[in-house]
Amino acid sequence: MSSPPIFDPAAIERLKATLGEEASILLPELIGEYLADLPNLVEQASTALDEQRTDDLRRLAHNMKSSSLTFGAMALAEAARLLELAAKEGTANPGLLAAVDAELPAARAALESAVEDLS
Amino acid sequence: MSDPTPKGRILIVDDEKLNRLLLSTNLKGSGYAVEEAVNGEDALEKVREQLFDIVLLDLIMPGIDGYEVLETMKSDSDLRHIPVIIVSAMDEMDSLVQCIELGATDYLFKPFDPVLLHARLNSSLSVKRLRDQEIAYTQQLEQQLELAGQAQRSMLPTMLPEPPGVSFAAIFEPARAVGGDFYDVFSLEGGKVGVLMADVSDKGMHAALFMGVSRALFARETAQSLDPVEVVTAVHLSLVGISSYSMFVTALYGILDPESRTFTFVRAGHDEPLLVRASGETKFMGGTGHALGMALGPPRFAAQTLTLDPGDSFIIYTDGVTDQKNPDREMFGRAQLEKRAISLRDQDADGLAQGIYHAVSAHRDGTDAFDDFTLLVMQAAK
Repeated sequence: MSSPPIFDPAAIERLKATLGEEASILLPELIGEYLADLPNLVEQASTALDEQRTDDLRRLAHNMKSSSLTFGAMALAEAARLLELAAKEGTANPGLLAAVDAELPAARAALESAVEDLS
Repeated sequence: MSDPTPKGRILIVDDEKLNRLLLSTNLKGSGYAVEEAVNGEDALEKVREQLFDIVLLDLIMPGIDGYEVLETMKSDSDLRHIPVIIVSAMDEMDSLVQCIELGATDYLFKPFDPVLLHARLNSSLSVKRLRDQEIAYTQQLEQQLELAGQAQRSMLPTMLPEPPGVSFAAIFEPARAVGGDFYDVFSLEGGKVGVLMADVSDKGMHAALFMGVSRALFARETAQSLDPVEVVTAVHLSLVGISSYSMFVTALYGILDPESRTFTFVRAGHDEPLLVRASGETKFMGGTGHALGMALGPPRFAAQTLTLDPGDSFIIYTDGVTDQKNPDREMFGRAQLEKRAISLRDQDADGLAQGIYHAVSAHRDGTDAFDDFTLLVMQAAK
């Protein structure tokens, strides 16, 4: 299976359709919040992994997957999905979390560029 | 300006703020009234406190998760009719199958497509509205049936006459809200007492209407004649005259003269009453007479007279007594009625009626009553 693209612009179109008139104000705010929150989620996931709290790890990975899919950060979402899947099976895999972390800069760059295009 | 009448009330259940915000912004913008729940506990509290047309439910939440919310709602008779649409990630397909099996109405993948969201909502709302109409209609019908039942019960006597030397006891238990049985015991001129029992063919509202008409006709005719044959014939001809509907009523009408303890009665197709002598001798009383209301040729009714000696009992009943089935589908039957009446014959009228009622209830042993239970005991003092 080919690896997913870093970013899917269709996600932004879907969000515009979802938010309607409020998209021009809300969408940049939401993307900003998402990007600001990502390092926190990775950090919390790292603590959960160290402490072998796989249920928490699973939920955090699930949140990252879900929000990344919402904003079209496809490669990051896929890395988070693999982490979630392992945690669901009771495995706390540091390599999978590192893979998530590695996707952050590219996702950030793509979404920041998308925000610029909005205005 | 927001629409004063929302398209529907929707509860969004998701622990992720982003998902709640996207859904609620979209739905509010489309004219829905929206409430949010941040987890399973919050969701269950809100569905119990407020009315919702649809619940949009996330599956993976800390604490009470979406499965448990769904399961709890579907096992609660007050909540199970609310459509639940599961909103979950596409890689949770197995979970979706489980949710549909648990009673979820539909599902939507995250990130959701707004066009698909509205298509799913419209479809679930139509189903919900039909269901709501059905519930309202059923409640209305039940209310009307209850009122009809009350009206019917008000046509039954609350107190039975207490002529010297003869006592009466009656037990009436309708099988449904409205029934087809009725009875009456009432004072006539010269200290005499009229005794009436009737059973309308079939059950339900049409039978109840026919019962009301029959009851009124008996009231009119018994006030005009002291001859049971005349009364029964007049009621029969009136029923034939006013109704072409293929219904009939079986009846037993008689007049008791307490002084001579004689009872003169007509059995119009009704179950054969049982005479139980103080000695233990018994007799089911036949006689000539057909059911009332069906034009099957000229009326043929004949009266018969019996004399009650001290301690004798006369038992009048409808087929709800003898035809009551047990769990093995065996009827209580006339033989058991006779046997019980013999063993209970030393009891007073009330004890005899109660004893037979308990015997039929024991025979029934929890199965549904198929018909109204009506039993009247007339007993001569010892």
